Amino acid sequence: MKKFDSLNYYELLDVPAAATSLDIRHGYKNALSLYHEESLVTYDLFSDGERAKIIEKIEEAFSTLIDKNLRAIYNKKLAELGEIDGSVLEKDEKQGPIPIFNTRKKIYGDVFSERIKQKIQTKETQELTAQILIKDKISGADLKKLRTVLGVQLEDIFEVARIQVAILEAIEKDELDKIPSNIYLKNFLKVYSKFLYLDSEKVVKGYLNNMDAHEKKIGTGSVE
Amino acid sequence: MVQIYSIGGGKGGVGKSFISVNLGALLAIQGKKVVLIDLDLGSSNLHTFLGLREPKVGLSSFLNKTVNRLEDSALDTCIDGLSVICSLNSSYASANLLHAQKLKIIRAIKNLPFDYVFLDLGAGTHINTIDFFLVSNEGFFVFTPEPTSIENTLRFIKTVYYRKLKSILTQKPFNDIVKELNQKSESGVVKLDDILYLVHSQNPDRGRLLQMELEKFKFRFVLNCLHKQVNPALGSNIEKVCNRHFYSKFQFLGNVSYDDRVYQSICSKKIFVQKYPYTPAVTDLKLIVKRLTDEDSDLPHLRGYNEKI
Repeated sequence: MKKFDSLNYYELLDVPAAATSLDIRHGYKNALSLYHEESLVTYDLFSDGERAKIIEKIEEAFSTLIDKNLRAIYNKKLAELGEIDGSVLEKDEKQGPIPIFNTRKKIYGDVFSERIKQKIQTKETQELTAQILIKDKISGADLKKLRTVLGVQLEDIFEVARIQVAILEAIEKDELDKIPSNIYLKNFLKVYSKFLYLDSEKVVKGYLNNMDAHEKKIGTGSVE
Repeated sequence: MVQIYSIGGGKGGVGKSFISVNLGALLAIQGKKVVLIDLDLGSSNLHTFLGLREPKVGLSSFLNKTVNRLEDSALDTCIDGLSVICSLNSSYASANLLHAQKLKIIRAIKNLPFDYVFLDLGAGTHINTIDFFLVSNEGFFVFTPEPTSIENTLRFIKTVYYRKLKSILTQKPFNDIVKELNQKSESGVVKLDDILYLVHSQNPDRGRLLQMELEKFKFRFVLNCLHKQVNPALGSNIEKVCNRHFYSKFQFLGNVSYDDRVYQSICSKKIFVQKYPYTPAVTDLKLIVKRLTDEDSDLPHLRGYNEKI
């Protein structure tokens, strides 16, 4: 059992050494409620002078622990005394703020496009994109080829752009019956080409040309 | 070996007798041999709780040697295994016990042939009350969630603590320190912390010894009459604070919720756990008994020091 004077700040606020700032605020509030003048718990246990000293100590503990820098210094001191585990400190330093409003989508997209940017700068891919863009008709197979060279999965595109994988597959396989109506298709192609750092206008034009050609083939075929 | 529990609490009317009768009854129902001793000298009423009218024998019969042994003055109650030793209600001067009589009672209590002895003490911090409380190292404080009760209970704890401290200090190793304290105390009241600090600073070894002696002490709380609107964590908070500010161990045994039927059971002079066995308050009491009996095996026994008082 420890006498009150020998309690460290964590024990005083009754929080673990790895406590978050929210825990510390809670501990502070609880400690104050225990030692407050009106508190039923310590009624008549202390004189006013003793009580004021205790409250002062609690305030001191709180203001130290809630300040990141002061807390780090205090932790070091405690770790030297062997009162707390040194491993707790390292963890504390590594812990950064957790972004609340950054959705996974954005972080993921950033990393993803960074990866593509690096790949697209290599000669091989640059030649391939040039070849595709020169063509009058751009087929789904062309797009797929470039995509696989860049190492992009359809699921990656879905994660960021939220275009269904099945539709992306249909576009790449030129399955006309599964492809959505032109107005959607154009948009999807725009997004798709942005991923692969292609000129979206050219891709849309080329792809639509290719589609027309296909339809004519099928049309003439059916007549024959 | 007999297990002695002293039940005190500073303030009157908080349910000290109620708690001792009902805890005793629950233990007796479990098959233990239990005796309740009414040590609320001068204003005894434990027999009324048990529905006994004009007890024929009691503590006074032991003191004036009508009976030879203290256990012979015990009366049976309506519960098998539960006996009661009533207070000296024959003499009106009995509240002021002589020192020798007090020692005689204390010695007899320690040799009672029972499993459990409950000492039901009176209110206030009279020296006799404190000394009877210190018969065992297992103190029970009963209090209610009111500032007045908590104030008196904490005052009672402090007085008991101080008395204990003094009794330790009169032992040989501390003689010189006591001398110095006596010189100091002429100038003013000696505070508890000052004594501990003085012993620690003069002789750390003895300071540690003193600390160890105080650590052997164990105090327990029962929070009686807990109304619904009171924070049920009050008891554990008091336990926490006391453990921080005293060297001895403090344990919160549990709440006993407020029940109107307690009043009815007292008016009908019946034991509450027997008259209303299926009420929340009885469940609370059973939990307290369970906590008590569960740890009986590892209780520190330190009776030698109480002999000094």
